[in-house]
Amino acid sequence: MISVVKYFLLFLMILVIQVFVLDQAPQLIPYSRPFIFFVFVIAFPDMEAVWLMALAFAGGLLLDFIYGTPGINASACLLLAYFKVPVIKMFKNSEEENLVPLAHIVYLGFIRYFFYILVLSFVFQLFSGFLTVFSFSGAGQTIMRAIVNALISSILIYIFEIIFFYRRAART
Amino acid sequence: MGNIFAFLLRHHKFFVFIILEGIGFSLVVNYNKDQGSAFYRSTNEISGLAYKGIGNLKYYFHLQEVNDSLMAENARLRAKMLNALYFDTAKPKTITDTIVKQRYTFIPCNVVNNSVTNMNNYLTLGAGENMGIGNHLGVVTTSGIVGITRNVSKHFASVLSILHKDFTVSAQILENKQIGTVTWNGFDPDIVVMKDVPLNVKITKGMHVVTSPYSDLFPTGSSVGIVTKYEANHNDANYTIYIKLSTDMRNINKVYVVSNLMREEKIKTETIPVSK
Repeated sequence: MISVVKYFLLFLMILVIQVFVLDQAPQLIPYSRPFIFFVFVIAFPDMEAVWLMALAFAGGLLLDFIYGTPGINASACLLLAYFKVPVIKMFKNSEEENLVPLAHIVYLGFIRYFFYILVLSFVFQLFSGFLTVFSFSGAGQTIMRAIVNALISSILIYIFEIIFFYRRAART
Repeated sequence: MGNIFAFLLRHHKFFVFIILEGIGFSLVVNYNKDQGSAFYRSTNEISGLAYKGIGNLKYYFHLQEVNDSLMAENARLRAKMLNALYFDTAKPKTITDTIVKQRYTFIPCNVVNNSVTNMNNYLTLGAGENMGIGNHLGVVTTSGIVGITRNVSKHFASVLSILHKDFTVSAQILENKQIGTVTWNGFDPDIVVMKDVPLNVKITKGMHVVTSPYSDLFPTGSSVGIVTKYEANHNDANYTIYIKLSTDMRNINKVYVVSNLMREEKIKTETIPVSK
């Protein structure tokens, strides 16, 4: 019960950071946008996949109502929740398969964990990018933008994770 | 039955994903203006392609009738040619004509889909922006008016048929120049209704109804139909006049999209606020 409240507060904090800090920050690299909102799908503990998808969809929809773009972030977060487990499997060794249920810095190590975040960020950015543009003409530009955004977002998420998850997990 | 449930249960994660993603996509399409218009434009394009295939086939079987109507139109146009006229002047002379200007242009195209049985009927034309067709242009056949374009993609145009509850056109009775409004009452695809004609005007069966000068979508005098029946409506002192359409709406193949070159200027003149 306590962990539910804790994760809910964490979700609110992510939302506040995204909307009131990152969206207001000046644009340092052209055509890019730091976006870490979907970290709650990536970093929250493993739960029943259906519940994670429902939570991701609801969370994305909440952000959509703030931005006035119903459906875009909800669809992208949902996609992320669906592909989270296959991507984790991709990054695990065969001997770790049954041993470790969680994808975490502690288990995956710093480098592998970064690439894990990068892949998921790219999936998210690519999907939401195409949904926003809603056209396959100029796909190259959309893909380039997704790569740049995924890199920036991954670095931010990585820092965020180290601050909020790594120390705690290392302690236990 | 048990197998189906077992299958659904085994892949429940995938089905939940598909359902939620479907909801997300419908939200994107219905509540985001840009995505929505792009989506409906492309579906318009796809259904247009399907209708075009069917339309090509139908068109082949109607070639005989198309030929007949083209012959009739040719005959009418030939009758208007200079060599079909007789100039009753002793001394022919050249006239440099500066008062006649082109007002309407006509874009010929094929009909690839048509409906007459619904409450709101539409046609689809096999030509779109590529042929210079825009939104809100009149559509006529050789025999009379057909509708107004309402949605145009690159290769297709959707037309609001005269058999649609939103269609209205200003028309006049040819014999006495009385102006009224023509709409469709949703019953017979051969009959439209003309309203706003006051009771003091004399109406007889067989009078011709054509488009009025007020209508800027159709050239003045485009045929609408012939009066078949009229009823005096004493509540508002107007006639309800039933008109048999001169166009057979069930059987349309070739149409002309009418582009009024002066429409923009007219609308601009009408809508610019008066300066003081």
